[in-house]
Amino acid sequence: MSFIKDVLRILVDGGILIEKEYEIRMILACLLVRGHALIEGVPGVAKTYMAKSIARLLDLNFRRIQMTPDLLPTDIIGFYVYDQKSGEFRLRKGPIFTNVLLVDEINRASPRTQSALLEAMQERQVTIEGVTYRLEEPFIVLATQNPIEMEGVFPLPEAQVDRFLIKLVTGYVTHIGFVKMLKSVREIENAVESLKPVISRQQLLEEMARVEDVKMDDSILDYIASIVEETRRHPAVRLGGSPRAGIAILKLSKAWAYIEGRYYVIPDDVKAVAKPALIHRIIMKPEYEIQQISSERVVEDVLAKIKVPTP
Amino acid sequence: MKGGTVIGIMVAIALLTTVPHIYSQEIMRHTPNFPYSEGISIDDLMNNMGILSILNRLANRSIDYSEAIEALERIGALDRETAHRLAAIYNATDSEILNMIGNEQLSELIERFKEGNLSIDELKSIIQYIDHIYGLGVLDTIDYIALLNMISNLYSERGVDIPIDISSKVYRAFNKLLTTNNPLARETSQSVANISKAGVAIPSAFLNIPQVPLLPSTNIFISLNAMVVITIAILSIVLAIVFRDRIAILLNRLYRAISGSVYKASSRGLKGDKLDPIAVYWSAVRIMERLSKIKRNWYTTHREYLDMVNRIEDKMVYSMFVRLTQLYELYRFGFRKDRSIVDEAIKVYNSMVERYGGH
Repeated sequence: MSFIKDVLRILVDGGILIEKEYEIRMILACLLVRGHALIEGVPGVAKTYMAKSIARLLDLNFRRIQMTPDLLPTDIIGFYVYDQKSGEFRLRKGPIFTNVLLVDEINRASPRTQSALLEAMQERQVTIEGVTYRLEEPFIVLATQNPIEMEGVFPLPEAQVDRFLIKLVTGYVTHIGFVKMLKSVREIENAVESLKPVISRQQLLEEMARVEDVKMDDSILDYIASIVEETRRHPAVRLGGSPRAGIAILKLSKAWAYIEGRYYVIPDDVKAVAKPALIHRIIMKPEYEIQQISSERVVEDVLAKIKVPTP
Repeated sequence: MKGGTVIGIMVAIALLTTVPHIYSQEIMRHTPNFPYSEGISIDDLMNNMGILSILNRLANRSIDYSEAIEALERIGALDRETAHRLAAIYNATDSEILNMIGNEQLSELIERFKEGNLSIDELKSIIQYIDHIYGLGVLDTIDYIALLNMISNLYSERGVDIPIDISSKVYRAFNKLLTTNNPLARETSQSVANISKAGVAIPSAFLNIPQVPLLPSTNIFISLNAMVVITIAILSIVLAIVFRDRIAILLNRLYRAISGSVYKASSRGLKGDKLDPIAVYWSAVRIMERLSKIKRNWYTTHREYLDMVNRIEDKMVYSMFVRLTQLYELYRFGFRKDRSIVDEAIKVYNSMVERYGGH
């Protein structure tokens, strides 16, 4: 797990990604448990840099897709083209054949394209002309959404949003962080391009296997179940967390504990991951939405209500 | 134990008496400042909008009364019987209405007016009489609407404009019949000034839907309950003042008994085999609660609590508590049941008690 420290040292302490430690940790946790992340943030908050730097440091391939309404599923997964020289059809693989895929503005793509992508994310394989191709491990999709623009977008249906293990809401840096960033724009750009891997792909896969061995006391399982169930009973919630939400918290808690250097989960890990694991799975009642009460607020409320495992 | 202490005790008794009662009447709040509201459901809101829409169309004369009544019945704002009775009113003749009411005095007055023996001003007295008997409960709301409707016709027959107050009375009575449970409907409708059989225009204020209230208002029953509680509290304070000396003695004894038990428990030492880092940790938490005055809540994790108490003055005790928290974590969640952890936890705890005792 020392690679986590190296990643944080280079990206956070090295000033490449300023004030993004939580986001980096969360993306790493998501990667370690084979999940995908939905990142919501206004343009220009280092979403691409974050994805690219993590991919470089972990020796992973990185691709980026800018979603547009006219993008077709084949533009993502690939298609066969006729090769006149050989007289045969040759596969042209789409950008999904990578390790870290940054999908910019996922809600700009048509529902058909979104579905194709989300299916591939879920199955970790794609089928082109009847032939199934497995995607190389590790595979993580970091999809971004702009929370401001609502015109010309196709919001993801709840069932599809549920397929993202986490939703990260990332915002602007503080004034001090902003000044620090402005001071070293050039250095940051150069540093991202010259990043060297701190771990090999094979080692990363081994680390991922170790995360599964992180131990969890039964009382923690009970705590997770109580949190998810409470989201369903909350007066402001129309649709609470699904069993998949509970599984997401469980997996992420293990990864979070592992990142923190432990082989066992404590209630703090559950609390740390509950918000990103739940906020996109909770549907609020309209009367509360009108009052601008967010699902983040509900999760905070639930965490403040559920008893942590004792004694 | 005199003077200020006695007053303090009395205030405490008063608070202990009142707070649980008042708290039990509060709507359950999850976290402080969580804007919990009963909220008006979208179904209620839609139902309300339906009523408003029907009344608006009636005012715009795009539908007549019978259609409006039918529509209100269809959306459940009027029950079937009321709707039928209302429909009957608007098809009934004056004599049929008077027969239905069965008030001879009223019938005679109306006859006299019809014959031209009474003036328009005297008709106002008849309206007052109708209001009076309606207020007494002699007339039900539908009878009242029927009579007001008939009076409106009498004004029209004389070629005089129908007074606005009759239209308002008709509207208010009509509105009473709407069987919606949504308080919003009633609040909204009260802002509407005029409506009559002839379809006086309804102001656009009709569609001004009030905002969803953030917190429900206290109802009369809660207020009465609170009054009872306050009375009990006042009585307690009076009794506390009267028996202040005895109470002071009793409390002093109670305090000594509790502090004695606590001392015995903490000075007993933790050496038994049954003890483990979990029991030790929770005993240490009690000590930290006393030292820091910060209580560990049920939703606070052990690490969060450690952060909360890091400002205590005695850094030695704090460092011991840090170690106990680590050992608790390893033992409780880390599946480390080694004897060494148990021994170390007991040792650290005993040092902590020793140090705390010398405080």
